[in-house]
Amino acid sequence: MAVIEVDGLHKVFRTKTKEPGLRGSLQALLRPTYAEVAAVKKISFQVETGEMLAFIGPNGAGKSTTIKMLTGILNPTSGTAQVLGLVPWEARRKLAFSIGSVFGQKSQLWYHLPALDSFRLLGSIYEIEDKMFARRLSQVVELFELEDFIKTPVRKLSLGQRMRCEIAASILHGPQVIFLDEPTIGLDVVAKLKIRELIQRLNEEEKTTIFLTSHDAGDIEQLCKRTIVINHGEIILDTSTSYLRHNYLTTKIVNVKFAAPCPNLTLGNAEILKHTEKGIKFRVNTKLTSIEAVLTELFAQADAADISVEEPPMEEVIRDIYARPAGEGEPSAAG
Amino acid sequence: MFTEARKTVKFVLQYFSANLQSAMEYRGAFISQIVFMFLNDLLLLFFWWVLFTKIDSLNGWSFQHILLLYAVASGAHACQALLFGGSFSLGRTIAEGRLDFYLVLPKPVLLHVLVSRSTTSSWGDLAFSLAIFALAAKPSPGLILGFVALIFTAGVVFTSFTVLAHSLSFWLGLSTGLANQLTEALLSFSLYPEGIFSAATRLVLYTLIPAGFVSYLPVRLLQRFSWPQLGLLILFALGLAALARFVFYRGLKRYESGNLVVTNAAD
Amino acid sequence: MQLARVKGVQKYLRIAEISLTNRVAYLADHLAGSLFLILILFIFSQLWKTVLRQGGQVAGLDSTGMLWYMVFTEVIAISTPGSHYLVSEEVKSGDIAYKLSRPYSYTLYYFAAHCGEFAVRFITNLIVGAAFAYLTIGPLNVPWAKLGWVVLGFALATAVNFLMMFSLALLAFWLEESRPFFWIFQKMTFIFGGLFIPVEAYPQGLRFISYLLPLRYGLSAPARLMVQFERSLLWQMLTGQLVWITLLGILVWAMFQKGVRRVHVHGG
Repeated sequence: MAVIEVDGLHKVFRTKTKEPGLRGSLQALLRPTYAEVAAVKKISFQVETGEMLAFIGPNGAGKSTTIKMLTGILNPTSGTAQVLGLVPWEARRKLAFSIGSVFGQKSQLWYHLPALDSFRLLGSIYEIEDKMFARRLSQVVELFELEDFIKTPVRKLSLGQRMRCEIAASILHGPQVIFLDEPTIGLDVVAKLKIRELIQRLNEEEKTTIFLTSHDAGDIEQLCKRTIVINHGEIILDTSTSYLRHNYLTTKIVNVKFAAPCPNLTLGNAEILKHTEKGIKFRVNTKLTSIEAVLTELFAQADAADISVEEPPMEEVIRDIYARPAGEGEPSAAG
Repeated sequence: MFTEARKTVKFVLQYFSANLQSAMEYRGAFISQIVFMFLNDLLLLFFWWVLFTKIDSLNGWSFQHILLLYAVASGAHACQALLFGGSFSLGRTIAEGRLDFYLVLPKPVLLHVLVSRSTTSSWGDLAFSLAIFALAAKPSPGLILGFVALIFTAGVVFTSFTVLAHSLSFWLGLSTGLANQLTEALLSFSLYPEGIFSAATRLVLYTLIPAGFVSYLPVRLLQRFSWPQLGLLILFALGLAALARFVFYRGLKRYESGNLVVTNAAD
Repeated sequence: MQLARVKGVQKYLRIAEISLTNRVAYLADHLAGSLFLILILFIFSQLWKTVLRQGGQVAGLDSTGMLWYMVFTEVIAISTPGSHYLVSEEVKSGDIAYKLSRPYSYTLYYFAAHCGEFAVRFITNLIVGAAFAYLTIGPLNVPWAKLGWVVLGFALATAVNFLMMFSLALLAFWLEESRPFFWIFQKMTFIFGGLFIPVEAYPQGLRFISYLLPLRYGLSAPARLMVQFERSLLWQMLTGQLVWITLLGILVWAMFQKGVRRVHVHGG
């Protein structure tokens, strides 16, 4: 059963253009000219019940615009969409009872009060009957392991704890679909793993469909079976995450700081990005070599004081998708 | 229909309670804000006290009348600020795209924005209003109840006006300053007796800048009750509220098409 | 030696200039203040016309005089910038260290900035207020011959106002939150500074207290002088202003000396 159906969804923004300077301001006042920006260009896709979908793309790709249309905040210029059988921008209030959302930067919790008070208020907003709410609350508290800090004022919580409360708040009313926008942003590694674990648990136990956007490749790899890549308002890839991992998320960037200055290092199997006598930064293609092999080669020449491994930035992955031709048996980049 | 009304009232009260609890987290600031506001209002009366040591009446108004005027105006302002405190920052909420937050929740957007904030210091205005009323009128409990109902109605007029002024943000950018000025203007006019204004000005004060319905008419009702005048006040309050609601939701349609002046085009 | 002294003054002029240009950038903010001025002047023009209808007088001023009096008190009041939050911010964030290590006097820096900003606001607000008053209630009998004295009175009033505000601003050295004091000060200015009515018109007790405080020298006295020039008023005002500038100057100096030491102790 398709929970989200998008067909030819299209959004064009009209903005006033203004030439620089005072003359431009006057012109814009008297004879305004408009520029049209197509933020989302006739995209189509479907999401099934219980799916965990990653919706990724660089800034300005059209992610937020798409989510805004799916949650009913924005009207499209043309095209259709249905979420749980409802047209979002026409039945927004009705749909609101069945969807939840978390926007990484914005909070729905009251800063000075304990999360519990915010939960109670949300219970009233979603018109949940008292007895049912009490049951649901204990369920959610258990699921997200909030007992220890649910009565602490939100301002005193760590970012990780707060994020747990935010996601918990978004599912109190038992929505079938939740939109998570950058849920792990700013969190340390431990907190990220915890959040991912809880989202996984949520999906398993309640069969909630999860629509996730993130700049963190780790979020996507660990949680989502399917990934849609959007860029310049178009879907450039709609495939399984494992395909993405095997074909595109194959490079890692390694930073090594030397224990003693080492000006001339050679690495046969890695692409050196930056090399000074204090340290070296290189890229490894994990399809061809392992990081271990490269490090072994490095350690033969120098001692390391500090090592860190990063995922390539999402922008680079997208660029790579554009640059590389389609792989075998999977939807092509033009799909 | 009745359950909807009951749910709405419960919703408003719950937000009110949450706002109050949030403010009480900081006891020191909470109390001092209230005390200062009370003193602030008292100082405004000072000018009138000095003036009335020199003159006996101002176009038929005595000092007691001025006290009633202040009681009503500050009480109405308190009702707006305590219950519908979100009205003061409505323009900014719209301009900064923060309506999105309210749009994804299943409650009426305008009401939700209005009740989401409460101006703590206005408890001082409320205390002042009730104290001055008690001083000026030495009222019975029944009259106090009537007074509270009056200032609530006047508060609705106040709030509706502010909503109308701030809804301009849907069409014009940078209009929060103008909206604030208009709200200030209404408050200012409602603090001076209508007797000093010319007929033309009074016409304006009963229409475009409805200070007449915020304080003059309620004061007249307190001095000499009349059913028709009460009916007129309630009718105006409801009418203005309906207009405000209409304009706001019109503007919201524009917001939802995304072509707002300050919305970011892409992403 | 002489060259150094000229340079010294120059840097404060520069500071005043920057403060001035900074102000012009906040045009919208500015406009809002002017609108409020018109609003309050309108209301009071109606009020005084009604109260003093049959040729009545308050403190020797008729309705025209009263409104023009208010033009000047209101314009001074709304044009006076508040430096308290700036000082408070600087102390809290530690930025004050930069200012203290520079080769100028902290107090004079703020005085120059104050004057720059006040000058712009005063002129623009006065144009608006005067135009409005002229159109609604009629012209003012400007004491052209003695205008120099009046301007001097306004200049000294600015100094008095600055010193009062700055002494409160310096409380930031001791207190986290000095805003409540500012609030009280502002309200006191309305009363004892004579914002609505000249202090001379107050009932006995109030008048006595107003005469003791410096507030009227920044507001009521110069405005009164402009609207109803009298020699006796002039001398009394100038004397009072100079006395208070001296006293407040010493107070500010003392507060600064003590306060700065506290800042260093905090390692700010």
